[in-house]
Amino acid sequence: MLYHFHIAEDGRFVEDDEGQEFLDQNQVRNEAIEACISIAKDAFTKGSARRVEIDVRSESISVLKVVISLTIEE
Amino acid sequence: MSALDGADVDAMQSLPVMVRHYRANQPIVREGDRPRECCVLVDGFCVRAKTTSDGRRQILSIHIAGDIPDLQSLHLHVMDHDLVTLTECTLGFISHVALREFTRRRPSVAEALWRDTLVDAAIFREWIVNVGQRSGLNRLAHLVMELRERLRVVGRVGGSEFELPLTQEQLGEAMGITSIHVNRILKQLYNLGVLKFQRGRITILDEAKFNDVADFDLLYLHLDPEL
Repeated sequence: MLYHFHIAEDGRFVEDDEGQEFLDQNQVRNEAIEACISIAKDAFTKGSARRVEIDVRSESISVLKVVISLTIEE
Repeated sequence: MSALDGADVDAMQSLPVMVRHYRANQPIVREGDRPRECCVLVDGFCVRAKTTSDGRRQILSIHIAGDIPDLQSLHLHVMDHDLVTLTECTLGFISHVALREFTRRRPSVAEALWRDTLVDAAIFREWIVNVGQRSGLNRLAHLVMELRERLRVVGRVGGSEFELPLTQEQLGEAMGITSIHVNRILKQLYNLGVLKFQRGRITILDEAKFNDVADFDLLYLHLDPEL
């Protein structure tokens, strides 16, 4: 099945036009988590965003959403 | 390679070479194999890679025309990684027996091949830094810059464009990130006016910005043996 992983960093969106084939939903979930962690690492350390979301869609229907947000208490 | 004289080059050209053609995504040698020959990549792109027990592949290096990607098998007899084509490839195979005899007869060729394996290691060191320390954006720009500089040596860069026939997934495998993250970085590099990646081709949009993002020092490629 073809899944699209759309990214939102604060209000900025990156659409996934191509999508990727996965056989089971567990792989989709792992892929989304891993992508969200590495994008969040880049965005948080650079200070370009405080919230990263990956919205996974298949045939335009939302399958799952992974959200990582940064909170700093000083 | 280091400086070889005319006689070395002539002798090299007389080595028995078996030319074979490979399709894309085809293994040339696999982990655990005991090859009896080394190959010179004449045309195309291939990669060295290792796959973890749960099926995750790390691309270790990307090879272009002129490289001898499995030279190590001349002395390390069992392959500890895979060598796989990315695109259609033309490869020239030279038997270990012929190569060993040749290097014994011609010490300057042996030195050149030794130097080649040292440069190989220098590139691996840089890749460790790249994967371990650079942000995704810098990491991808660095990788693209390395390939451009290597492709330039073999005359495969025309102006601001060159062929880089990797998929987003393969770029991710070389950088230790998902293809989703690669997609985000490529869009970012395009939006920043640095480069464009489309259908396996790179176009550099702004050289100064590219240099800035790539954080690249040519030294580790050791392109000039006289230096």
